[in-house]
Amino acid sequence: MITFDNVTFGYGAKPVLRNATLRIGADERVAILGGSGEGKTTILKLILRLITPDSGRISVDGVDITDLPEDELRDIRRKFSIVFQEGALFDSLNVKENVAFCLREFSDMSEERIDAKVRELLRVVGVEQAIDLMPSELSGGMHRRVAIARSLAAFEPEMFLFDEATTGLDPVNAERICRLINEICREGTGLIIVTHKVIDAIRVANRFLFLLDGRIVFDGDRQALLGSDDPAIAEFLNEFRLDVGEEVKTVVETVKDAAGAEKVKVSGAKGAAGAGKVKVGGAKSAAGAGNLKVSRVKSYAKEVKSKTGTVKGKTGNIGKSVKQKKEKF
Amino acid sequence: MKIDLKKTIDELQEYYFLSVKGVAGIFRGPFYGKDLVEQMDYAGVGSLLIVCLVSLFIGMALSLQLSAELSVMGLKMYTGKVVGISIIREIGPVAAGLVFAGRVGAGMASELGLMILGHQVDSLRVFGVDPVKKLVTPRILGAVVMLPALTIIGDAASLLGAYYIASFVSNQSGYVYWTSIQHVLTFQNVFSGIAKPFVFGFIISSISCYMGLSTFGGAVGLRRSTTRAVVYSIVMIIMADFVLTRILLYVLGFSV
Repeated sequence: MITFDNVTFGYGAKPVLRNATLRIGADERVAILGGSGEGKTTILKLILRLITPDSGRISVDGVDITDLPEDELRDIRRKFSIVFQEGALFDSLNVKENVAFCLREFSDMSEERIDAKVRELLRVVGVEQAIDLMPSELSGGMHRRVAIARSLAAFEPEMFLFDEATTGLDPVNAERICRLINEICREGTGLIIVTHKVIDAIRVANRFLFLLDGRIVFDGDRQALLGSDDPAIAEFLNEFRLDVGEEVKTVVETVKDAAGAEKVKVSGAKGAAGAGKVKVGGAKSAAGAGNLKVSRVKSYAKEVKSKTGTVKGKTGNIGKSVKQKKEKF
Repeated sequence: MKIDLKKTIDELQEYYFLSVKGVAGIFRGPFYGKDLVEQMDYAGVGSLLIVCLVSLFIGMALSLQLSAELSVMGLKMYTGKVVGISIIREIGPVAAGLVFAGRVGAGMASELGLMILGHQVDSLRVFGVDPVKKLVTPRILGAVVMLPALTIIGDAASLLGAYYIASFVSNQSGYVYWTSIQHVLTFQNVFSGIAKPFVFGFIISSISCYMGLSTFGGAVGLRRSTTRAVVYSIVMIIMADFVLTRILLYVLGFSV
């Protein structure tokens, strides 16, 4: 569906994307990974032709859009639905007006039907209570969810594009957004997510591109990504393990709170990101002490394992990574 | 200061195309009436108080200066006439334009700049909405309609301020003052004073929209766009005022 043929783009003299060549099918779930300023968002903008490449060709469904005039791009753009970083909601409109924007612009729907449709979409994304709020009154997570609702209201897209959909969100909200993305892209709708959070990329995508210095240096599935020897990718995966470590910590805290015990020993959590197994030792006694059902503790342990058990072959030295960060700042 | 000629020409071209497209949007649909009303409210009603305040004090200061100077020559009774001509033909439109540039121009540039940085303009384009018609046309039309109205109200405030000084400070006859003003309100003078704000409104809104929509580089870029919008607008108003004065004097048959 989307084809990049030797595409180069730069802001001013500095190239951001260099000789990018790729093909993405309509039903693929692709994550574009990489650090800040590596050209991730640029790829999304090029797909929508919001910017024009300096060289190379871009085509969508066989139509070369590289030099297409703005008026003719409209139909191409409607194949996609994009959620920009931080939502890009219109500041001067409230949540309802934001979601209803395209319905009012491009449909003949009555106000009653628009109201019903907006409420339905907000219910789907779980922010129905915010219908009358202004964007400035929304939290980061609500912002993204309203933006997703707005993108769903627009048209019936063949593919969703997400630009840093979970950046700046706490782990709970990030996971909620990922779950929402999985729900709306369930029925064969493709997606491209741009992110620097590997954990979120793994949650929603099954093909991964890695950008370094404006070049696509990796294109493969999850196993290939996690097993990559590329130092830049390995560094990224360390971040991922740190994220997983944080999640383990969160689950342990949850177990502790739920058990009501002062301490729950979770053996294997430290190396969880790399070890591939987590044991919740002492949970049984903790459960006994705090009147918590063992099955519930087990399910927490299972959740921890499901999040960490897929990572293999790396030591995942969380302590070292934290130390490096402390030294850096 | 190094001037990049190629970049300057590029920017002038872009500004020209944006302005032409923005004006063409007035005559070609879709029309965004609600946005126009919002802009008229923001630019016109929102600027009313500050324009009145500035104009009032300009009128008072002008009246003070002229009363002092004319009384030396024994020509104090001409204060009303000189004040009237100065305000209606020259100072009123320019003062309103400068206030408008500072308040509305800066507002337009920063709002559009923030929309660019926050990808809101990109969102419009993805939805298939023409950002020029949606954002630029209502701002140009709003400014072109509201600045002349503000100028008329500002002129009235200036004349009132000048009257207060002439009558209660300089002890001149109020009747003589208002009779002088009445004689000044000829078609030529009024036309000369009303024609300018239409042009100033277009200059301010088009420059500010262009600066806002060409924002890049985060907070620093936004600061640069807003500053440039105000500075360029002010400089262009002063320059355009001179050119318009010359043209209007010629067209209306004044001899220099």
